Amino acid sequence: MVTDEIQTKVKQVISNVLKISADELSNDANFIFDLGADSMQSLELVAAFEEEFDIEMDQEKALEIQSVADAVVFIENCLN
Amino acid sequence: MSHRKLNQDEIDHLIKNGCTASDWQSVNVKQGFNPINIKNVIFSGEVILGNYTGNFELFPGLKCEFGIYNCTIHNCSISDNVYIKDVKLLMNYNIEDNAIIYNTEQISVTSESTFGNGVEIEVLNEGGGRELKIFDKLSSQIAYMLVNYHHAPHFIKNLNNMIDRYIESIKSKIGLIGKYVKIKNCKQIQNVNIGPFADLYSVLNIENGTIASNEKAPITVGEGVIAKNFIIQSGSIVDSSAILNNCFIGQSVQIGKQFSAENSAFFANCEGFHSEACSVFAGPYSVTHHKSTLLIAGMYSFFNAGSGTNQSNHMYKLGPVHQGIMERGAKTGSFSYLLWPSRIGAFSVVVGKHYSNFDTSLLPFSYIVESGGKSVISPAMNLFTVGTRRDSKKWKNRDKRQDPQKLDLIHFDLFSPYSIGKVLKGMDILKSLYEKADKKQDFVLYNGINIKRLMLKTCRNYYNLALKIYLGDKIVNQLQNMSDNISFDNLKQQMLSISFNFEDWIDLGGMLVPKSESEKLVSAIEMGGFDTLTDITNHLQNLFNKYDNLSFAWTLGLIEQVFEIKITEFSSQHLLQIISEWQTNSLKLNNMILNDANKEFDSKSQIGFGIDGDSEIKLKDFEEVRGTFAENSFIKEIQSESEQINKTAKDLLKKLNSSK
Amino acid sequence: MSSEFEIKQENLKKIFYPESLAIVGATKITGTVPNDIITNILRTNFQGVVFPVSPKERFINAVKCYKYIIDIEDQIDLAILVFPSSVCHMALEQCGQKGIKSAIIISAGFKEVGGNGIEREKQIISIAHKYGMSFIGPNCLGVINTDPTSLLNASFARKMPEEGSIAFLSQSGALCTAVLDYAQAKQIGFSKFVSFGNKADISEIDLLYYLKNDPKTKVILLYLEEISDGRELMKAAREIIRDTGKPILAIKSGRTSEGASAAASHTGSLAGSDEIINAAFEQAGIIRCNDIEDMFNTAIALTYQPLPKDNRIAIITNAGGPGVLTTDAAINDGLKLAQFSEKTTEIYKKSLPTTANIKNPVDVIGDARADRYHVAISQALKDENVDAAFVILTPQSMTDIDTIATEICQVAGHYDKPVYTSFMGEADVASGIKILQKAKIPHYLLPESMSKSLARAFRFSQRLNFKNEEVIKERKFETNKANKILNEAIRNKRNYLPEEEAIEILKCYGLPVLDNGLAKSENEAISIAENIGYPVVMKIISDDIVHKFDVGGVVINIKNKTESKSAYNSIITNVKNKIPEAKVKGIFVTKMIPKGEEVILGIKRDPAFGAVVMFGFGGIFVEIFKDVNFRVAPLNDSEALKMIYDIKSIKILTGARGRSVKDIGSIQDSIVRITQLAVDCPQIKELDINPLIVLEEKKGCYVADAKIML
Repeated sequence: MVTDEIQTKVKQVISNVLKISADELSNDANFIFDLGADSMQSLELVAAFEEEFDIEMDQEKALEIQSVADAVVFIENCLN
Repeated sequence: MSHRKLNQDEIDHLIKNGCTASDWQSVNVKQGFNPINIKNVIFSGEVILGNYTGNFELFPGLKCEFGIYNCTIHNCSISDNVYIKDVKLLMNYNIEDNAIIYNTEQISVTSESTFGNGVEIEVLNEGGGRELKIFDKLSSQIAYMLVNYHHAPHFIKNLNNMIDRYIESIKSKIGLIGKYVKIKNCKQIQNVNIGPFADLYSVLNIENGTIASNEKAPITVGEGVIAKNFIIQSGSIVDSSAILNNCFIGQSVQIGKQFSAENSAFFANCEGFHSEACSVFAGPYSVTHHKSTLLIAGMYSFFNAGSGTNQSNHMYKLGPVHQGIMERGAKTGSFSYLLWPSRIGAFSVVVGKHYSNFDTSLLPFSYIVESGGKSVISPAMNLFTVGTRRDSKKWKNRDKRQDPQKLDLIHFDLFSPYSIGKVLKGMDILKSLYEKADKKQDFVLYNGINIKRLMLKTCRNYYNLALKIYLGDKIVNQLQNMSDNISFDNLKQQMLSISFNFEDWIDLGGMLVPKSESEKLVSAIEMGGFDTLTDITNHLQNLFNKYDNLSFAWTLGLIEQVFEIKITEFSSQHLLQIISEWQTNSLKLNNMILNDANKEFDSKSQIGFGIDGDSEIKLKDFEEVRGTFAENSFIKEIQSESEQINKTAKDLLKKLNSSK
Repeated sequence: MSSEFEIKQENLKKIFYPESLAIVGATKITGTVPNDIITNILRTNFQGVVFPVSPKERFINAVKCYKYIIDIEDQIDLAILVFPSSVCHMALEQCGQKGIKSAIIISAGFKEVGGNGIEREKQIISIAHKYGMSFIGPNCLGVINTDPTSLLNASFARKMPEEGSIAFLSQSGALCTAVLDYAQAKQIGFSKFVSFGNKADISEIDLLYYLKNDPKTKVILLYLEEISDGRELMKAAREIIRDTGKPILAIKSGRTSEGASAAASHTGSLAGSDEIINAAFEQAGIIRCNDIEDMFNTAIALTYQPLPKDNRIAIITNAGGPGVLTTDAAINDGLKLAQFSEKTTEIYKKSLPTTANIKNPVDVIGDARADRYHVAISQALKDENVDAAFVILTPQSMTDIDTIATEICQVAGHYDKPVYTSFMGEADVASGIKILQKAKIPHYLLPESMSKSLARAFRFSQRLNFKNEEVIKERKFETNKANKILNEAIRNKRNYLPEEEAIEILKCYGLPVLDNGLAKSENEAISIAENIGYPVVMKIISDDIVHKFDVGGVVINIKNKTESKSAYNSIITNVKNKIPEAKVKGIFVTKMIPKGEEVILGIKRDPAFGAVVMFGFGGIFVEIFKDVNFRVAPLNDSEALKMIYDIKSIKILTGARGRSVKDIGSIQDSIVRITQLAVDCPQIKELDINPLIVLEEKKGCYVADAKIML
């Protein structure tokens, strides 16, 4: 999967979980600072990424995913 | 003590001192009696007096002579070296050595009394049906069984009979004021037994009770207290206008600051300030500190009530019929509300207002919040919070009981067959819910509460982490106990020699036991296998002492479950896997706890403030500033623990490899 | 261009008196820190405009929210950051872009958690510096300002304290909530209340300077867990006390011996961090308190009552025993019982019952009511021989407690002398105590606390009145020469200078050393001894031997050539037997000092306070007797003299039991010189002169042994 595709899917997932329009999401939006996710929602996002991309994220490392960009990079690495 | 009648000189002296008697022949005295310090006393009934010579310090620098002054004494036996002054009526009491009583209106036993023993209090169910018969040696274990095992009426009957027999032995027409008791500036004390070294000051009205004080763990009952039908066990403090009605106060409990309670029992190390309790069974370490908090019709233990916590136990038109259970370690956030009947799983945090009934007993270590009017649970989320870790360490260190006879048997383990048994079940539940849920669902419903579908897998993983840590802890501990003989073979041999039953464990009023043991005990009592309460207490103590062995045995069952093997098939590979996973997961948990400092969610868990829920630090806690009270001492502890885990794992693996 | 200090002071004004503030990271979720903060600000009627910033909420508590702080058009004076630490840098960056200069960072998860937290903290410091911002925190409870023109509760403490004149600064957030609770019960108000957390930017020193100029603050309380810059703290305290007369009280937690290194030197092992802090605080005029209660006991005395002009107290009591206890405590604390004037005595004779005790302590006896107390107290305060009054009450059945309390408040208000009270008991006196507290009459549970507080107030007033008219003596030092020797040693990777080299350094600073020489052979030893003149002392010199006496490496009182030869050989033999592997440089031959008193002088480097000097009774038993005290270097002559007189065994030097008076002036001179050496030569880690032999008056003193650790 190429980066753009991943990014689109990531935004879609975020949109579903946080109930925000995907169009409003910038490529470097921070979950907490820009999107107002609380810590519980941050974990939900990680779970949603796992489900969408059929990957397993280490619990500790998952806590470091803080933005759209972080998610794209992480998922890319997992898939490759 | 041998006594004699007064001689004429003594009578004359007493009369000269302003004393009168309905019958001087009914006043007996000890050998060596001197009337010099008995002034303005009215004697009636049978009175026995001791010797009152010497003095003591009433206040620093203020010396007073022992003696009896300005009192009316009826039917009392007063031992040596007492100071009794300005007591309007002292009736039907035995007063032991060195008691100090002054400026008190009335201390009397009005008729044959059991002094609060035998009072039945309606705990848990406000409407009745779970009566608890209180007595001065009641333990949280016995209380738990009495309250919860009404499905076994013979058991209840037999146990109550034993209690009745015990109470019968206490019944008396004469009360006791023990040695070195102080009673100062009180109004009315009626039908109350007061044990040695108790300190009562400015008490308003206490009636039908026992203050089971002793030298090692004295009791204080202070200003403004009103109490009726009560037992207070050793080491406790009840003061500052507390109001108690039909209450049992266990050992080293602190009640004060206008706390009011009725039909409630508080066991070891509970604290109640400012708030209200009604039909509450407060197991050990239950704490409620805040003004607008009401605890009603609930069972709690290791509990912390946020300010303004409230529950409702009423059923429309049927009145107060419901009850709730908060399993050990649960907490409520500020102004949280729960609708009974509900059951909250162990070590869970409840925040917000909940208007539905739910049971989360099999989802321990959870966060329960309110979101858009819905009750939502995030299972396992409370596993890696600072609050949970600090709580688990603090309780044992805060056992204030000085009495060598500790009545309540308490296990403190955070991870135990009790909690991990629930974790295991929780994992199954989450797995099943995930498999059944539609991907389009945001939430799934479980036992009346909602779980975010996306969190099901994540939470299950967190539970798994706890499981691995528990398993590793147990095995590592077992290995370390082998000292210089650490080897897989030795461990296997030990494992094979143990018979085990993989079953549920229960929290029996603070003591963790296999369910079958509690059932066996109930049956035995039903069948008349125990004669006295002491026999039952001894049995419970033995069971308590077996915790390490029993929990290790249970762990073997857990190994069989986790690895899907029989214990005979347990190999060194399994062992290495356990240790390695223990190391990884323990470190992971510690790192996640440190990250919790970031969490905005629970203000109480922010490391920077050390505010762990019981935020009213009393003056004595200021003494902590003398030592190394530093915010980051908790961090350092966690970091040092991580280092130790690494070292232990490395050492063990080395030893195991070399012993092959 | 303003200095960093000036920038911080300017920015602090907006922290305490913002006209508008933004809560960045606000949330609706009750029970969370961000929500608690916004609730507190609104609830306490903050005198300014509030702007919650939340990425997802439209409003919180009916106040409009902004997604980003840069979306706000209005000027914002203060930003309160409550976002999780992982995004604080983003929030702070935007604050900087908006031109906000002042911030409070409440969020935890920075340096205190280690790991990434350390990096996060560095990041926010860098951003703040970039924009000329100043911030309190991170990881703090927040800031409270009770001034009615501000009414700021930018914290998540439940309680807003009442307005008062005491400022409280704490490094511990948890302690703050407990202190607020405690103070409320005692009706103690605050002017400013600050939890400064990690002090990544604004430290307690910046806050002290701010409070120096705060008209609302009369007394400053400080709770510290660690001191990063002790010298600056001392400097700030000295300046504040000197310029404003505001007392500073401090608790420094951790009274263990963690600072005392297992060093080779006596000084190192004796100088625990607690002793040094005691010394530093004493020098700076900071009143060190043991615990919170102790601190507030003293604070209320200093805040609510005038300072005593002298230390003569009148004690008024209605029970003899407590009066005696109070007298004992007062004398112990260095106070005196006032001798009443004849007029006072006459008035007491006339107005008090015959059974009353009219001498100090005045016992108005158990049945005293308000009128008797009135006479006793007012007359005592009128008496010129009385500087302060202690009023004690024990509740008897006829004691009208509330009326007496009211009377005390009234009488005290008429005189410019401090009045402290102690109503002994529990419930019965509670309402009377409340009356006293409301009227700001200090009340103490125990007479000992009363006495201790007044003693502190008196010492503080003495300090304020002390005029330093000392003329600085001219002294010459060969600093370059000393540094040359030290640098050479460091270049050669040496960390220890033995006696013969240490003495060279001391000579550069004019310390009294004796003629000496280093002999590498028996003949050389004899030759040096002959040159110096008998009697002499010979000592082994080896980097591997620190305690020479213990290995038989010292021979004293060598009177002639024969003894010189024998001494030399016996030392060599002893050392060969005891420590055969020791590398011997030679035998140090030095003039033997006549008998005198042995004292110890030493220097140690403290991480917080820098060079610290130690003085006390010395010799080989110094670690057993521990009669030493410490000061932060440098010292002037009067400070050095005070240091000498502060040791317990001073009478041995001033002539006790037939002993002669010793040359204290020479010790004083040596202390001043050694402290200057410590300041000028940072290469010196530790220095021991043990013993310094002090001779009789005018005969000086001599360094008998010295070593320097680098």
